[in-house]
Amino acid sequence: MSLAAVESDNFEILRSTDILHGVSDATVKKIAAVARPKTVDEGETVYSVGDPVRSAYVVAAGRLRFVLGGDGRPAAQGTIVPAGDILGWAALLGDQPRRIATVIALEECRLLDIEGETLLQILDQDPRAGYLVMQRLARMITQSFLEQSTLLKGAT
Amino acid sequence: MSETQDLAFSAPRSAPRKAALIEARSKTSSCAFHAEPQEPLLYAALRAGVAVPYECATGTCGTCKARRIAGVIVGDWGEAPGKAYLRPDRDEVLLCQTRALSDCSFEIPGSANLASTTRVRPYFGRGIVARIEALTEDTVELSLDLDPALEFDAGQFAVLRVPSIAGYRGYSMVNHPGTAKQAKFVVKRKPSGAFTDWLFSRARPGDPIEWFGPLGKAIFTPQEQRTIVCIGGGSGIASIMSILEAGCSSRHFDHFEAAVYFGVRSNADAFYLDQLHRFAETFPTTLRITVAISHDVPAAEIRERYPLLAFEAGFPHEIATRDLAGRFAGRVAYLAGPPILVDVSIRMLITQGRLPVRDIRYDKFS
Repeated sequence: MSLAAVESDNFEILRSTDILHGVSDATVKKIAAVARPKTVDEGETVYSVGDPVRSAYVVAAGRLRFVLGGDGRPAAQGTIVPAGDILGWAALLGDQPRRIATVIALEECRLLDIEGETLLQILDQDPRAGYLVMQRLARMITQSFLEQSTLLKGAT
Repeated sequence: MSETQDLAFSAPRSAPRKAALIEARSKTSSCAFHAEPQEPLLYAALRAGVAVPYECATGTCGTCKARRIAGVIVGDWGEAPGKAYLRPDRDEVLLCQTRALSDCSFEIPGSANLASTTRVRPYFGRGIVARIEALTEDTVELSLDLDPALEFDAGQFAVLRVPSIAGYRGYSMVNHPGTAKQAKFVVKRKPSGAFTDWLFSRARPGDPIEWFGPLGKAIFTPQEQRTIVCIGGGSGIASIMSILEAGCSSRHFDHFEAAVYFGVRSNADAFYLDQLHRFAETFPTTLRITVAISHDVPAAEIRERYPLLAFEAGFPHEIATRDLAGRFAGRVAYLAGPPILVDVSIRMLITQGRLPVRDIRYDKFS
């Protein structure tokens, strides 16, 4: 596949994600140009607890399992991440040097690997896009804590 | 042959007369073992010393996923939550919920090393209910007389099954590890849970129970010579009691500190306080036990009655974070209880305790 075709493919994938909804085509094109397609086999680990945080990943196809901690062991509280979702968003937070979760492919998956620092530089050039992305990240984090808090209250 | 059946437990089973030969391979290793007609393939593998990845062993977590390559199989629990992680169109199954009706072969995803490193291979046994003692309004201690004895390490669990109720349930052993002719388990009543409905309303001393164990990787051995931190919630205190028993009897706590955080919802939900207080009396300088009460103010009367235990309001992982700030290094952590408590404790131990993952031990089988 030519470089232009890869970028066009990346653009279509990114355009359909919730996190980039409303972001200008020009900025999505810049992100598509730096995104690297990656295929992971079933059972393969995308990243493990303790790994350095470098990239965020957009799931183009397939499902993955996200597990807090876990030393590679999937566990009961794991979450299934479907196509269209973003993984590894700690890469956009700046102060999270190490992964605290493990992500394993439940089937063959196609991902877009986007280096966190590069993505932040692109968002710096388009503050509206940066605002939208950070707003959605904040919402995801809040949602995660609310779910955790609700589960904890009902747990013991 | 490539036929799958998915039968309910109550359905008649057309089992073969002899054990089936099962071949399993991952990307890096392969092995073969025999499975009896009525036994789940996961149990057959573990019994034979084959280290198939597993976590709950009861259909919940999806860890023992495998792809059938050949052979006739029968599925047990059709609604097993762990099936959410499968692709049935690709012949994926949970080995803990699958039995073989013929010789079969399976592919285990990933690069699992199938060579077992466990000290004791799990095995089947029978038992009878010796005693059922109420610990709180919705929690009991179940004592079983076992045949044969169960050999286990502190922190391990077994799966139990009543002949009249489908499926196995996992519970940690409370008592001192070793080779036990009697085992104790803590069982919390579950809404609409067939096993706990039976246990809380119809079970009587002398009733038969089948078991398979020991299982689990969250093992404490005094030979490791490490300081520890234990965080458990509700019935999850069971495995921590076993760890404390092992640490006390081996005099481990003469030399190594332990910090224990036992989470309950209210004052009325706290149990095993007499036993915990005895542990703290034996090792008053090295063993610190805190009861964390999440939905209540700790009552003055229990503080007075158990002066060597600490009682604090909050969740156990939060209190551990505060208590042990700057003092996590070098500890081994044991986590037990509701999966969400285990998850938030893992997050805390990695981000704030900075513990390496290899030193955080838990089994999730709720």
